[in-house]
Amino acid sequence: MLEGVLIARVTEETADGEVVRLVRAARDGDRAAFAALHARFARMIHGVLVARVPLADADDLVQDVWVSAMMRLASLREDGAFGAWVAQIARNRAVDFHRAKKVTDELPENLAARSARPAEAAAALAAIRALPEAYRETIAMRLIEGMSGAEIAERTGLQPASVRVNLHRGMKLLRERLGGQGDD
Amino acid sequence: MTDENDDYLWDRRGERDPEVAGLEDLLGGLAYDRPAPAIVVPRKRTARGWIFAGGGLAAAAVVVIMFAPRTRHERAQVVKNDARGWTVASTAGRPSCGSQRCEDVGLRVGEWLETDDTSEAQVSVADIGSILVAPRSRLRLKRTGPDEHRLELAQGTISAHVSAPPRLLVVETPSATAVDLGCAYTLTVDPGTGAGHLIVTSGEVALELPGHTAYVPHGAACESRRGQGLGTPHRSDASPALVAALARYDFEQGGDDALATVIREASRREDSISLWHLLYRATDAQRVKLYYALLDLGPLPVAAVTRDTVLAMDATALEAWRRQLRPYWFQH
Repeated sequence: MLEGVLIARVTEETADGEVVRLVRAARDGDRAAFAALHARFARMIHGVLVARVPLADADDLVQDVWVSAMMRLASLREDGAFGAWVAQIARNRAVDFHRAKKVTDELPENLAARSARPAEAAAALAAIRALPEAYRETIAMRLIEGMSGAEIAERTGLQPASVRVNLHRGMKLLRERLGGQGDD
Repeated sequence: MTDENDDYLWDRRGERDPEVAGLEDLLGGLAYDRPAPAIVVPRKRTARGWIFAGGGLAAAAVVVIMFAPRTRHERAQVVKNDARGWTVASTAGRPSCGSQRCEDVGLRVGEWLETDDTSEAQVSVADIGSILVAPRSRLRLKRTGPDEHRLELAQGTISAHVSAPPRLLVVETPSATAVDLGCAYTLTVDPGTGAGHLIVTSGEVALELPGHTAYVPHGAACESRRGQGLGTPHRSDASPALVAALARYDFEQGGDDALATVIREASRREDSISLWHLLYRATDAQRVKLYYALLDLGPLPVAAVTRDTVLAMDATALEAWRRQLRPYWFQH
């Protein structure tokens, strides 16, 4: 006999009025809304990915994640949860990337075209990726993508207090691992 | 925890932090700066009526992006279903549909797809996705139409990968019914007991129960038992001792003894998914223990979450705590 009904729904997040409006407009094919959403969330997606995969692959995967999100936009039930939803798509894509690559010896990051000090930048990237999961995305979004703490909270759906703690603790660990002094 | 010196780290206000600023200078050039790709956005609730959005790429590139196959699931989506029934591909052995080969007739309404010890099948679910059917499974198509596709899983395991508007795909089992909303999950039914096991492999499924909601994210699982309903969600990589203790608490009236084991075994921050959900099932005395166990796992809860608000089952506080803990519940 059948018992119980599991009604699945997308997790609720705090509704951001403008995001809701843009998502709905993008769903209806509004090109300006589509571009506005990309401008708003692309760096957040990149921050999620670059915390997990090589930089060149992260750049490409942002495109894949974006296409995937737009193709599945109809399945997003809580439009205000767009940021958290697309961030999870990015994390899943990073997992898929590593499974598909099955690389045992990774090529070194080629950052010469993107940084005046590629060796130092590669070391910093490696240190960020070695941070605990709770911190690495937030630190990547802040230090690489240039997002403020408030922007990180708004884009990801995390509470500002959580973002602040993650930034503080993540930066403390980063200082220690890169040879700086802890701040407490 | 944090202090004034974090203002620069937070939003570049206050006294400049030389180490933070140095890393910004070093890494800022790696930020993402590509334009939006040109893609076709599917119009809601229909497979037709594509609308072009974005710009910057040629139409040929759009086609490549849309149809470049990556996985078995995605390749299945280009297989068309016809009047014979849902298209079924044998990925191993010879699954049967009714009493015939699936590849000859497809899966028609009212018929059972059955796999034996060595056979597997891939079913194209209309135009919204696909289902992989593992060996030793029995799956029946009960209904298919524009508003709902309904299946019955009597035993065995299926993995569903669906991209569609909410509530379009429904799978009944002896102990519960799963309503899909564009996620990906694996659902297993024990042939003897009818007990169900749900693992979410993509996205997040929120299961609405009387009085509260259970959240099963990517990398987490949830049991169900005929006559007893749903268990407590847990991470798929939780320790066997934790999973066993949760089952004792949820289904065998394990009480304080089982809860003590759960709290002892829930040693990772990721295991807070189980402790948080248990708040809804616990007695007042047990809830105190769960509160302190969650505090120990961290992070420091937001201001709304206090011992008093949690013991009072304050909805706002519990929701705030869930949002804070939620990132740790996903498997990365």
